[in-house]
Amino acid sequence: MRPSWRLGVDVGGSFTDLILHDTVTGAVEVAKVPSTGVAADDGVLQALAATHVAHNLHEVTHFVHGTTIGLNTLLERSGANVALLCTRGFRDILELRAGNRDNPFDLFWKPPTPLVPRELRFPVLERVDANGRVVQVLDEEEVLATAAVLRDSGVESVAIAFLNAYANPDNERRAAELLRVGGFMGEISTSCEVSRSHREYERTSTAVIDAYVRPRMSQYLQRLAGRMAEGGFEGTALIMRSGGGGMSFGEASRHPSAAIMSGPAGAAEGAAALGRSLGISDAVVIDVGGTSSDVSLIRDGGLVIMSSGVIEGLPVQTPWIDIRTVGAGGGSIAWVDQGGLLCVGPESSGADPGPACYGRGGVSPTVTDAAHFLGMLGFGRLAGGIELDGDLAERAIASVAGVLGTSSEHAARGIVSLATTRMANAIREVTIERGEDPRESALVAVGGAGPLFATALADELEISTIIVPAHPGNFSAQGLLVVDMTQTVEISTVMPLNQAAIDVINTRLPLEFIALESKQGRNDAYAEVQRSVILDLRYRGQDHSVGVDIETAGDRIPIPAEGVACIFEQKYLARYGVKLGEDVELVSVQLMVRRTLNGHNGNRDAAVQVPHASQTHTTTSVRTVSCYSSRMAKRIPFPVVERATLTSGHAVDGPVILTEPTSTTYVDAGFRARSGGDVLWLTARPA
Amino acid sequence: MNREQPHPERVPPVVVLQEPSGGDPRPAASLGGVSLDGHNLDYGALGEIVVSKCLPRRPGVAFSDDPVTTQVVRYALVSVAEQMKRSLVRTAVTSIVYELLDFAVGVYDKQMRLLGQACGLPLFMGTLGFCIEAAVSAVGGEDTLEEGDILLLNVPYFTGAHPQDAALVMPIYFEGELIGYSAVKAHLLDVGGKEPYSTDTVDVYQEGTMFPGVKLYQRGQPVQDLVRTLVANSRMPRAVVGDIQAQVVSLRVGAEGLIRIAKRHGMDTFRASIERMFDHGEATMRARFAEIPDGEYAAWGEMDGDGVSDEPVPFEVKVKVIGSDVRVDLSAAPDARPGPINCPLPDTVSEIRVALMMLAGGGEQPNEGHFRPIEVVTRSGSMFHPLSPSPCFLASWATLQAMEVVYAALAPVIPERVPAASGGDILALLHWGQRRGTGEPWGDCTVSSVGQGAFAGGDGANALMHISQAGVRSVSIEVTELRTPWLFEQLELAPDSGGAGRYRGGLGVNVRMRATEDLWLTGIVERTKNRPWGLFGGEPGRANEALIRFPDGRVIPLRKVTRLHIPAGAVIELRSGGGGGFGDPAERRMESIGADIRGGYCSVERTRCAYPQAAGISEAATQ
Repeated sequence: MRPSWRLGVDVGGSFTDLILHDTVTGAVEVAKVPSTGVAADDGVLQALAATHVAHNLHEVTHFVHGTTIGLNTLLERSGANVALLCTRGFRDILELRAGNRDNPFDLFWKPPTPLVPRELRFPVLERVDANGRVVQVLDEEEVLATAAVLRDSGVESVAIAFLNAYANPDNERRAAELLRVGGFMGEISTSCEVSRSHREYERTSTAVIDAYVRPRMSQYLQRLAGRMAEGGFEGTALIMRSGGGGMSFGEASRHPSAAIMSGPAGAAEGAAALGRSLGISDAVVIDVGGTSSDVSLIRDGGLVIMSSGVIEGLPVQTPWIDIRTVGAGGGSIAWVDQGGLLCVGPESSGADPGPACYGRGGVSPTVTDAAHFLGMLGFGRLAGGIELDGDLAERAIASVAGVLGTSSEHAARGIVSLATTRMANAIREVTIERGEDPRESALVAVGGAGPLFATALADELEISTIIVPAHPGNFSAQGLLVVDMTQTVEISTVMPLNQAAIDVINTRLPLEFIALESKQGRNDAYAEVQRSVILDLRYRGQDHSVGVDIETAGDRIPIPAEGVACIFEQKYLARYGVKLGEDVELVSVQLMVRRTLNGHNGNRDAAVQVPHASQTHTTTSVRTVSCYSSRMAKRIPFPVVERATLTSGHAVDGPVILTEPTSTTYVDAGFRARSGGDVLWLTARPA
Repeated sequence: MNREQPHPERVPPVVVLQEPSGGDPRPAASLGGVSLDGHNLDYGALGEIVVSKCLPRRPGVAFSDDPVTTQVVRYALVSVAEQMKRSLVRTAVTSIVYELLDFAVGVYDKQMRLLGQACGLPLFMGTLGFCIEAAVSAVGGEDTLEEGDILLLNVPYFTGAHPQDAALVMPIYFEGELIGYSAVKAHLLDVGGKEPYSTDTVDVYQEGTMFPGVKLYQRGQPVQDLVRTLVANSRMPRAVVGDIQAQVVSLRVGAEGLIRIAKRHGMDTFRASIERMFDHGEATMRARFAEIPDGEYAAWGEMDGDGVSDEPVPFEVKVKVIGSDVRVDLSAAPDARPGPINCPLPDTVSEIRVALMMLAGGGEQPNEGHFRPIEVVTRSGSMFHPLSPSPCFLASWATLQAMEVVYAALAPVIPERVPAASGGDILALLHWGQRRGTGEPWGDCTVSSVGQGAFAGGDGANALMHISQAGVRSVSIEVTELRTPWLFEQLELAPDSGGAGRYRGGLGVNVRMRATEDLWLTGIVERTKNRPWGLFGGEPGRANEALIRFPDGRVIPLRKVTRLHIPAGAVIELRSGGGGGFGDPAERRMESIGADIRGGYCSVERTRCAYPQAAGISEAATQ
């Protein structure tokens, strides 16, 4: 049979992770190489070179890519020279923001510099009101004159964002046409194309980010696609969206604002699929990387998707997986503050030089140094052939212990414990914000350092079940393997929820769906289209809404308005504990079309298995390290066992350290590790 | 900016607040043991000089020597407050709570010392301790409390805010023992009073129904008689009950959090750790305060009027620094005013703490320890320490100015650490009416950003909320136009509104909004008579200005108005203040001057006048 490999490649800040999965045989291959910065495609090709398909890319049928290119363009401010066309009288929407300060206790806090300098913000005469009525016709001459200015100004990209364009996009579209008529040849992003939701600052910011990132994103994707094609790749290539699901390289080149958080989304999506395949509907996902940890939630088998996100202080009004970042990861640096208390992060040693024990010149004590000092990393052999240096770790820890006036042992325990506390606090805050209790969830621990903290986090949060998937260190790439092709649009439609409103929506749905599907283009690799509708509803007078999934019948909402209101009230009650008895208002309609990958059986199982152990491993004698047990509050011997030697169904009791190429799982005393299916289950016995 | 005015030395008795409470309960006056002593309980008799401060660590108290566990406990306490905040935002039903963030939450120990807090508005920082103290004392002390009780208190003189800002206080028990309190103060839309929001009250009884520290919940159950009383006194009972429920959810989250920490570490370790935590907060502040040269420094502020009269109300703030102790003296302020700009003591104290915390707190979330080096001196019966029944509906407006006056006082000795004045206000407008056609009632509010003062490190930020309201987000134009009959004609930066200087003051904004239907308006626009001061040769910024253009051609200024009828077609213009400049304009770099002209932040004409080095500049030269 012809091989049919699926390829997931996630380019992160420090590493490029790759996973290959043969859907026929179930075979798996992983690779991890350092990321290559601006030329991220080099890293992708280097990772590929380490696999057997290096010269056989025609064997790869699907390639799903998670990229930080959009994110990095914003972080480095290395995007296009962008101009903005806006409504006259409202030149500074981008700069005024909402007037708030991110740090309320910083007297001198300044907002991020707008991506468009004021001299490149061009107000034009036009106005649409909240009902979509044109109350001031567009001054076409003014737009043409602006086009002439732009043509000669070296501007590469233009964003057009007019007030209330979500309610009537005509003026924006006409202005875009006129820019072309006037001879402007660069990229154009209109706010009505990137978002159909109200809130002018968020929508303007999204259009501007789109215009800012697009040249670099499209060049990168073109380069990558070209190099893949040279290697023989003929399959389907997708980019992970910030809100889950994938989109074609072509669409990502046109609307890069939908893929800004492409990177972190992979792990979350993978964890949700993994949960579904294991029958776990509620979980907390902790993805611990080098500089930070990402927390996301799985509820009812799905991710929490928001209608906008914020990156580097700039809002992006596009579907966004709710992922919260805590500045505590393996590379976070420990220090002592002015008042003599120990702190961990947010400063990080990064990928270079990395923790002191990497032996690459780092001297600052990091979480990894503390973990290694305490024996939690076993014999200290990490992915990519890194051998940790215990002496360097000890020296780094001793430096901070000296300032604290305590022993290295105590300081190291403190560093690990503080990192754990910060992650646990973040998890509590996220769950409570959703009205949920972490104790009722499973913990999915991924990322290179996730499994290291899993049992301590579970104790802290009183969570009884932990899941460590196969290849935890490559998990974000693995998540990419299960990605469907999706298209979504959220349309602001603020009106009372009554039958007339439902009827209006029903008359609009067929055309909206067709428009949405036409964005995807045809692709035979993907099965039939599934359509779904979410209505965002709220009690009248409120600002925050609750999304209610509606099962559509064809193109219609088959439920009457009272039925929809009833579902909303139930959901509101479940989340907030009260029903308010106010009238219900419709805020927006979200449409989604999803095409599942052929051969995926319509399910989205995490199909990746742990490679089974070769028999030789099982007979070798077990070595132990003296390692700190946080439950016992002292060092005890921990056997160090290769995870691969655990056959399915086989259990081993903590204390034990399980090693594998991309991660180390620390199983404290009192926990039991069982290999089940393709994952490791850690369950707590009461402390 | 500093006006000279002789101020007689006062050496009157000093009342130290927040001593451990004790002694006999208040003697019964009449009616079955209920005191008829009104609202003037413990904060000093008329004319008395009162020093408010937190006590230092008591000698002999158990103190942790473990910098790690202390930090774990501290992180956990900050996180508990954050969790309270998020649960309140999640469950609140009115936008004033979940969008304008008009609330504060916190957890306190048994001695009512602040352990951790999170607030929407920095100006609420540290006021909850006063609320707990007053509420517990009002019901007869901690011995009368039971598990599951929740106290309600909204008397301005104890909460430090107007009566809508209702404090709920919940005692927290662990293994049967009182270990602390959770407390939430949030703005309820309406608790009675002559208007839902007013600028011209003449006594506190016009401002709302008083709940002087009463049990709203007893042993976990709502006290129905009280809830009905609350409902009967509100124009918007559903919103009020909804938000009180949200406050209760938040209190319980706080209680669970504190219990979890106590359980996790054990009470002995917990107690010892918080003592160490307080010391840590204190040390952070003292390290920065010690850098300020010793001495007494003074500056003046001025309110445009008190809401009843348009007479300006000047006040002096003196800041005395001795070693690492800072004493802020507001006792020379005028007597309580007939209009509602008086600031109850808890508001005055907390605002001074906010000002100093921003100066010296290093961005940390505060606990009781941070407040230890701070003393606030007030005179009982003055505008910063009014007694019942002085009106205080607009309390925060005078204190938000007092914050900046503290910086003005300290500027000569720590020039690199304080900014010039900001626009100094939030230009708050409340508007309501009934939609044409549907007759549906609506109500909304808008706030405006102002230019920030320039400082030694650079230009002032353009158009940010006043520092006392730092977390507040202004409402989007599109959202406002969706739910109200306003049509905006302009909302953009106001060129030339920032004061010139080596570093330029931030720009204010120009807003023009047209009423497309009849509506009602209450507005508060302060700092219209004095321009925001510059520092060290920097010029003042533009003062706030607001006016109403009626369709019949009449134009009236908008300062403090209550329930003004605005006919369809009328236009409101707001011109928010710019920040003051810092340093001699002649020292401004030509690149910065050019950038300002290029971006249209400053006009060519104004630049030529303000900057001698640019007297001959033309627009073309900046391209």
